Amino acid sequence: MNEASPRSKETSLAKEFFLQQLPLIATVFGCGFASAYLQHGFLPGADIAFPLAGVRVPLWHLVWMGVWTGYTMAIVGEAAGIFALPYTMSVLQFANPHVTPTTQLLTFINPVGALFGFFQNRQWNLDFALWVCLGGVIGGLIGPFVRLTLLSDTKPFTFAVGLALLFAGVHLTYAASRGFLKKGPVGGIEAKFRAEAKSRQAAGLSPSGLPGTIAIETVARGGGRLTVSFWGETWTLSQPFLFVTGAGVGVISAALGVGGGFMLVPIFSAIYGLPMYVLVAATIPYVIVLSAVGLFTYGVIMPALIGTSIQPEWAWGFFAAGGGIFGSWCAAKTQRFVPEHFLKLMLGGITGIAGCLYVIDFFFTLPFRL
Amino acid sequence: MDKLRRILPYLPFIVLIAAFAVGVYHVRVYW
Repeated sequence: MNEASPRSKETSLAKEFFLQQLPLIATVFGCGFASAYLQHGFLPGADIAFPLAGVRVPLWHLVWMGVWTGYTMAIVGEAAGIFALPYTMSVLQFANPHVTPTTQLLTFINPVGALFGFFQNRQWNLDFALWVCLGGVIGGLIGPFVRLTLLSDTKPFTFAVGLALLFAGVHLTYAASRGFLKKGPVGGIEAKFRAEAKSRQAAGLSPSGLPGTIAIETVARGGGRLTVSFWGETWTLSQPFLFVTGAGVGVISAALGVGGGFMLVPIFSAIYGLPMYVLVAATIPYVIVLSAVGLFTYGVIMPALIGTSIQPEWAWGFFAAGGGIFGSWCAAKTQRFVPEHFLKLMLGGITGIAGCLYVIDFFFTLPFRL
Repeated sequence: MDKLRRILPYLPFIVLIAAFAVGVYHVRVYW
């Protein structure tokens, strides 16, 4: 059968959804129900407030939040956390310290599906991921203590979230403007990617652009330097720099409750010129490791060391994550049909404005509640 | 399927508008 026939494409898409995604989503929702009864003894939602969050929110709204943040942000190559966090704080009014580990539960579960996808696609290199992830471990251990001390009050916390949003907004707007301006011929991986997509399309295949046989390989390692290659291009990276960046971004991200990819991606692409296809080999495992260590620190290390724990609203995080997995999957399947640069500009604008409002709110009283 | 594909470029914007509408609904009902 011809791979390009619409019916076979529909069947394979449905098969992938029902065999891979649906069981994962069902498991996460199951964890949501189980954790609600285990943590609180009842199912919070529209009628009964979530005890730690202190707010009433219908469960479908949490799932919807996961879907739309996961979908829109995955289309522009970001994770849901940086959008879900301000939405949770300002619209759902969950802004106490428990919001941080709760959003980290979302950022922990969301990229798992993507990790499997990239592993199958051989966009995977443990040497590259190792040092960034080790930095993430340090960040995940320190960040929660920053949250408990410097950012324990709502105002400084929203100010810090505002700065992070501004950073993400500026990055998205900059990426969009570069995308709009880049009309002429392009070189490197991007040119190869386009040529491959064109030839696949001509052959009647889906224009995914990446031949699945190309792996991210380690060319050399030692003396604090690491050289990786992908599709004929090589990059030499400094291991201490990977580690320090991972740790620095980790402290900020674990203190706020976001994944950290929103900072790591622009830093690595600006300093090393790494393309997105290679970056994900480090950033996706990083977000998972950082979120896992952050959750462990909030729930286990903190109470053991200082007797204070900041537990997540487990059910909240699981329901949002279930929606997030579906949203990110939809994004991965439909990304090539979407005007990416225009969407980046729009999301960058929204994120930047939200960030500005949070920052202004720290210094002046706004005429509305944030 | 073809009809669905025609909607796809607008889907992120439809989703954002829906998110805004749901957010407004939540503010009015639960705040």
